[in-house]
Amino acid sequence: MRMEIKEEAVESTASSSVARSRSSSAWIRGIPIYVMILPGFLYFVIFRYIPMGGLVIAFQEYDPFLGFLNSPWTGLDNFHRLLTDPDLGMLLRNSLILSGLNLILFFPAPILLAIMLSEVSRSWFRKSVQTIIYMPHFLSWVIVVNITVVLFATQDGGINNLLESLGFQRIEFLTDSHYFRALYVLQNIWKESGWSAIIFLAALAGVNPMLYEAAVVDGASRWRQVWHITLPALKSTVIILFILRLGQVLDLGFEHILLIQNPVNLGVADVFDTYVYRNGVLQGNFSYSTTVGVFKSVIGLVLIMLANRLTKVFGQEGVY
Amino acid sequence: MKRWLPISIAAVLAMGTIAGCGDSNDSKTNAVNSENTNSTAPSSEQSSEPDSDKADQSKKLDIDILTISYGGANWSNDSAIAQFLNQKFNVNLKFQAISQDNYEEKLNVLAAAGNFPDAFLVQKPDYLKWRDKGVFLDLAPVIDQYPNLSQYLGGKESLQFMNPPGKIYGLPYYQIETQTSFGIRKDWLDKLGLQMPTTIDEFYDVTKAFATQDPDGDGKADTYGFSASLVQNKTDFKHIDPIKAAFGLVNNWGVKDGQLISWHTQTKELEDFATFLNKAYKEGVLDKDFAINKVKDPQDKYETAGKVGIDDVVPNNFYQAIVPKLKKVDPNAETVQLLPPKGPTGLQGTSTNSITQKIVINAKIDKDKQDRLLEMFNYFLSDEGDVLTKSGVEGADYKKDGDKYVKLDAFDQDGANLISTLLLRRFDLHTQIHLWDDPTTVSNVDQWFKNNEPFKWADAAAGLESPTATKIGTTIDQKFMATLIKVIMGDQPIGDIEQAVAQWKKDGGDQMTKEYNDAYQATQK
Repeated sequence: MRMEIKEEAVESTASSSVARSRSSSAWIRGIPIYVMILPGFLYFVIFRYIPMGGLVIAFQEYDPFLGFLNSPWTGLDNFHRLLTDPDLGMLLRNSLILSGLNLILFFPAPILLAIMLSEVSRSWFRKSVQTIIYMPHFLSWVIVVNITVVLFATQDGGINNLLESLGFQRIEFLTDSHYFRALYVLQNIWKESGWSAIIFLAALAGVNPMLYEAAVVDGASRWRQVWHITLPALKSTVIILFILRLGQVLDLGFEHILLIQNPVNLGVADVFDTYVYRNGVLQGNFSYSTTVGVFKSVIGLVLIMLANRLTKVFGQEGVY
Repeated sequence: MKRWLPISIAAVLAMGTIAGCGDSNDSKTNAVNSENTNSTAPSSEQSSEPDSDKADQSKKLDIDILTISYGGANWSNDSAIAQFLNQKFNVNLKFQAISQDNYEEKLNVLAAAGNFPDAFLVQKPDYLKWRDKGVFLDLAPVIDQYPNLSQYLGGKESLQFMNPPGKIYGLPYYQIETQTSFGIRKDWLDKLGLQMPTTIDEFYDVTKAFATQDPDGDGKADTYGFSASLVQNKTDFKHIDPIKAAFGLVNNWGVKDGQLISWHTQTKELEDFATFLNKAYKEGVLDKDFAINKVKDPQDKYETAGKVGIDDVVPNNFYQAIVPKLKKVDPNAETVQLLPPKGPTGLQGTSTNSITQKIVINAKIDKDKQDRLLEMFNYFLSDEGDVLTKSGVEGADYKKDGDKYVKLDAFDQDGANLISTLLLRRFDLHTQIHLWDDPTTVSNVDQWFKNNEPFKWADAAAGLESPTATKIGTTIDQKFMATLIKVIMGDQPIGDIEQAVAQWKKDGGDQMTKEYNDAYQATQK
């Protein structure tokens, strides 16, 4: 690509037309920038666009030992199977409910955290709390889930042992499907909200202290200050992050969900990604699971377009 | 974040295809090659027989072997046995063992990438799925050149098992059929003044006493009767086979009135079984976490926590691992064999393995490598190799002391017996008996096997195949299992089992039953 630009540049200088040489000198000056763009460009082409070619196996009865040039074509059979699959409704419902919970409960958590931290006046306390709560971000899901099991297991879990010694019944946190969604969202909040709060704290650091001083002079209480100064200061950051978040609305954290799934909570815990994993990777139904993946992407796309439209309706700038 | 999943699968597949295209040609030429060489080679090799395995080892080869790990030591390339084998066969052996919880995943990912190891262990569903795709080397034409393979692996019939006529795509991985039995805490029985249970009702009373009468005497209600887990693909229980058998359930598939039936269709037996486990669950007799246990958790809980009264144990493993570990937790612990309890109708059965795991050689690798692997396998089964793969290298893993052998520390650290325990071994009850083992232990182990022998509870469809089962069996079995577990945990009423049975039949179970029966009738003629 770089070569092309150069050749073009040489050619156009040769033609010596004033207008064209101006535009070609712009090209030449741009070369360092194009070179800088190149790795990112190649990344998207090689790792994002070319692999999409693999989606053809959704229209085949794919056999890895034949490859996709020789696997038999089946047209829309896989899509037909998917749309008549009794599991589809469950997958869709679970994915949407979990994404909804993430948006409603997990998304605001770091904002609240940031506001609470900014209200703490002792800086040593604020800083140490901040450090402690963003630590979990660096733990892998395997560790987080195992800590959960050690704490919440019914037979030997620490929490349940405590409950029993206090005279309460043991609670089946992990094997009762009613607790699954709460567990999922709480684990998300525990692990990520400290880290996500950093960006909101940064936004708050930019607020002019004089605003608060003026508010105090005007007799505003702590709550009033938060309401009229802190929240408006965060508004644009919140909206941008919210829109970005909508772009990944169906990405629920495959590894996380897979690790906390068990046969008992599968009815509420099975989402598109884990379904693809079990059927595709474990049982080798590559074609069908690719079909499910394509379907999920289409739904994700529709959701993003809706969200984008919605933000524009509310007078904000969308992602595109 | 995880939009990568479908895309990366697609990417893997894309690469697989590119590799696959090349490989499929290779395999054709390979097949032609091997046919050619097979038609000429045997005579020439047999003529120069004694030295034939030294024929051409001039080239150093990288050999990858992949198998299932059941925990314990890992293979070390610095170990004495690794170095010995590398030198003897002029190879660079990479022996990798992956946890049974993840093995199937690993193999399927490798399959999608068209990138199998040189030799690997395959479980029945995958073996049947890939058997006729030309990925496993057909050993039938060459098997006679490797006398130990035909002699020590159960003979022709066993080699032929699960293969189309005239083909041998894999070597059987030997498991002692009735190697597993219940072990029970004798010290707990004595402490509570209880008798060894012989029926399922007595079994319940004893395990309930274990859960409620504080057998370890620490004043806390922290013990329980027995544990269980699920097999790795979550289609069946593990560690409680004798209970299933007592209630008349068949081991996956059984014969009734000359027809094969699946345990998924035994509504009455399933209800009895579920009622029993539901009661055990409610009263704290059964491990509350059985549904989230990893495959081997029940054994780990038995030996490292000392809070479970019953565990199903493999006697070799029992004497070498469980007893020493449990002694550390509780010096008074004593475990004895518990024969399968009699069910309400007098039925008894013990956990019974079918020899359906196969060691296969990749058909797409160089013929040099295939030959080298076969020579190694042939050697592992020879008298010398048998000692080596079980006990390690003399001087490093054990030493001779007078007329006795003494184990050295390196043996356990290096996992010197992994080839024998995880990959290839003779059809011989003494799979894990080492040179230095005390004759009493050996005869104890034999005794466990012998006691168990009469209670064989075999899967009648072990060697049979059904295309439907290969395609959707796991999925519908998992669904069925989910209902059964919920019934046991009291989340669903017992009546739901009937629906689950009907659903299983409708989703493909009837078709599987028909296919298995056709295959079964064909073998009966």
